[in-house]
Amino acid sequence: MITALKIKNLTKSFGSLDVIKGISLTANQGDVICIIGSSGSGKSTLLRCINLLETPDSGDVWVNEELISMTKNKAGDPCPADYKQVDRIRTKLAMVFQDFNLWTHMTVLQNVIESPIHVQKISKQNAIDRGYDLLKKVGINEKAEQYPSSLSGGQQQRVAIARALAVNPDILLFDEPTSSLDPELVGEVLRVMKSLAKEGRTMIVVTHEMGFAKEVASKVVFLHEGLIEEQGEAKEVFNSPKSERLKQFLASNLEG
Amino acid sequence: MSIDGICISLPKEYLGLKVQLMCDSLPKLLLGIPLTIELVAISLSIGFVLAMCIALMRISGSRLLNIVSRSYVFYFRGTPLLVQIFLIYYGLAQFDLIKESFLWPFFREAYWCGILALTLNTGAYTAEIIRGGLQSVPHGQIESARSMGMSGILLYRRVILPIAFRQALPAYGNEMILMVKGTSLVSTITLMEITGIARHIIAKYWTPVEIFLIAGIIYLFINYLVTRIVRYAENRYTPYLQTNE
Repeated sequence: MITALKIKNLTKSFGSLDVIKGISLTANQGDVICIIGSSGSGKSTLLRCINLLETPDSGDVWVNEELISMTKNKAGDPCPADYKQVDRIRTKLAMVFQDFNLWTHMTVLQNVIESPIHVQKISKQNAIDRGYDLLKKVGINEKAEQYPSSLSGGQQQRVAIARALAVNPDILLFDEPTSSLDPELVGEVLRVMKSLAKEGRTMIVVTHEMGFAKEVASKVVFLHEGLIEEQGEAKEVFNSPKSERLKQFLASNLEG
Repeated sequence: MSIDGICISLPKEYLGLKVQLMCDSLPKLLLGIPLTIELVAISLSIGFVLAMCIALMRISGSRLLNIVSRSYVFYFRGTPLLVQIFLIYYGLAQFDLIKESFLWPFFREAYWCGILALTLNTGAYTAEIIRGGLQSVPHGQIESARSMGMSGILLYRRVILPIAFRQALPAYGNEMILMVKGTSLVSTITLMEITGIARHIIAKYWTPVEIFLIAGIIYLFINYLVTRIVRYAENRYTPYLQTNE
């Protein structure tokens, strides 16, 4: 089986603040890895280092066993060695953001077909057909011609998921996909995510939704201050946490 | 009925205004519209391309380009358009270098001096409008484009510029209106656009109120059309920002 994602000794700091202090992680095809931890623990930064929205200070990332090659720029800071490779790999790693980040000047359908047409050079008709299928899948095909601003947060996030799926990615990265949503809209997004997990998609999900992690995750990773404090199968992690910090974290996050 | 017929059928004077003279002058003033529109269209078009370069220089990250772009904007926003017109029209002729160069056939003409001044002027303002538009593009939308494999020119062409232009549209509409009015200043260097013709008629009959009243109404009409065009563009390209009034 091909390893979908492998991270080795990744570090990242912002100025003097070490956010990621050396993290290694492996995801096999079909894994749903939920990354949990309190705010400031480095969850989002870790996710953003995977598709190089943040450039890691050191460490390696393999996507489908292909190493993202890094080098140093003139100032001595790390940077990608081959930006074309980065663009190509990014379409294998579609990301769903906390704030949706749909392109406001495009309709829902245009958002979904943009990257397939202009990055992957798929024919427009194919992209449109596929776009409608994906919008149907996330239950929002009736809004295809509308602009994102006329949609609710939950609807926008479902469009964002359809947009991510449109590039036919091998791995889906979710960066707190429900954190900006009103509580009553969280469910519709989680339902879509669950159905994707059932399809066997490889997903890395940074989330505060413990219920989702418990139900769907094949592996849960608990981050604390830039390091993996504990990881394991969802059942283990939630039912018999070993570290004191995880126990505290779960106690304060599983209430209610 | 011909315009002469209409004019004669009007009272000669009304409220102290020479109505017949106003009516007679209208067709003459209307003849200035093509030149006014030509000046606006040419200087806005070239000025826009110029502004695009200046705005990109400003955000390029290069110190030198940044200084060049800032100085240009500082000078052309900080001095009156009239002064710029005079400096170009009277000033360039002082340099033998220019008089002997291939550019002289151009700068000898008031027309091209006017176009140059208007272009450089609108270029500076538009550069700032575009810069504002570029900087207002939400970072998250750029990140999502990057995460979908877009970068470089593609990223600019498909996401950053379309959003920036849309954000800049209302401010640019303002600039277009200012330019229509700005062309009146080139009448000072002999160009016979609307204001030039008005001044010519006034010199003959000494009826400034009557003639400028008509000229003002013509400008108002042109700018009404500009406003409609901008409004149309806003509805067409930013329907999601429009509220139904």
